[in-house]
Amino acid sequence: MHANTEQLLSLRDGEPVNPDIRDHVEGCDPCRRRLQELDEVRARLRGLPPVAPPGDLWRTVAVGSVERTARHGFHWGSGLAIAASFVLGLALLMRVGDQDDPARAPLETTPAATISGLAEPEGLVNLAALQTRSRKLEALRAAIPRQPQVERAGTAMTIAELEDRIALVDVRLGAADALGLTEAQKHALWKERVNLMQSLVQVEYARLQRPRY
Amino acid sequence: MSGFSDCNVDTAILARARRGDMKAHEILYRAYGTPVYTLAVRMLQNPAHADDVLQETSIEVIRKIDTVRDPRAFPGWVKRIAVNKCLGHLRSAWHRLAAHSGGAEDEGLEYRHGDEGRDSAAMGSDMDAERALALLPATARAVVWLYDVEGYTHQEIGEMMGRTTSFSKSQLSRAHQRLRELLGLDGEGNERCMQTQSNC
Repeated sequence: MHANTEQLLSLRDGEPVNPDIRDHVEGCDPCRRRLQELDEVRARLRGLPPVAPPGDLWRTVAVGSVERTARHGFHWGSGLAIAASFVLGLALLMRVGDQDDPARAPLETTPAATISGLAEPEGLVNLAALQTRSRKLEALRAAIPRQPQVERAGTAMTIAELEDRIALVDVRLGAADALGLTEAQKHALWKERVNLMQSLVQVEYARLQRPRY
Repeated sequence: MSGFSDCNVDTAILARARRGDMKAHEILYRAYGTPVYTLAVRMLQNPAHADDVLQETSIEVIRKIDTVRDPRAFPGWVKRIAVNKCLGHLRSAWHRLAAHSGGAEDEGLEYRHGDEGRDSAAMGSDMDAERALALLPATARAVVWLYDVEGYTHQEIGEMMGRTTSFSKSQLSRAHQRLRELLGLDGEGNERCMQTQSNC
């Protein structure tokens, strides 16, 4: 009785085999031949050439990774909820504003006026100015008290969507060099970030004004 | 041999990648892209699915790179991710549907690498290993590639597939029997065996 394929594979791979089978194969030309063929087939499989992926796949991968990171990996520091005092935040914000841009320094002390004061003026094209404005909006947003109560689903979804979009912009900005973004594209992303931050702060401020129920 | 054995990465690059440096990730991708893509093409026999596997693997690498500290562990770690993605594709409803539409369940998918005028009538001694591999049933193909080329054990393959060690062994045996037929080794071997049977 010849060795079957499974037994021959065990012999080929040095796995435990019944001694009778081993003895048989050693003395049987066809079985030895089949054993060699199993080796040969493995060698042919291992000898198949590598297949290179399409050249532009990395770009797809990079974009895909930032989109997923934005969807799954971004959190707005939930542990920091209600950590910042709104009044203190505003005061800090006004100090930052004074230092960064004296001409625009006297911000109003009410949230609505502050948001309005941070609105993008006509003709704002400077990247540094966009970044400064973005930081101010971040500071203002951090100063808004978090809402521990149950809130309207529509508001929560709007906020979540804005947060996701900002996160996506952030990750794209972080990977700007790897993605090969031009200066114009980076500028457009910063502008988008400022607009989104402004919308987010406005939504969160409006939420504070609603009567709780 | 598995291309993952050449997929060496530098400690500094790995550290940069852990910090979220996308340029470092691109360097890593240049190292593992071809081995992952080759694995996926061989196991799935579908370039579009191989694209998906490489993309999904890369995204998981980017998201979970902070779990890898030792650069020597990196090739095996990426390979395991890629294999799981491939097996996920094989298990998917889409893949089963494609297998059904192409013939019997779990039969080898039709050959897709150029040379499409050739069909099963071309089976014989002139068939190359790539074409023979493509004509294997999907599960047997996956097992023979993981065992003979990627170097996984039967136990590891059984675990990854949610099956037993014996299942992996029997699939490997099945794959080799079919490969011998497809590569034109079977007829010659049987003939010799018959001629010398009395000696056995």
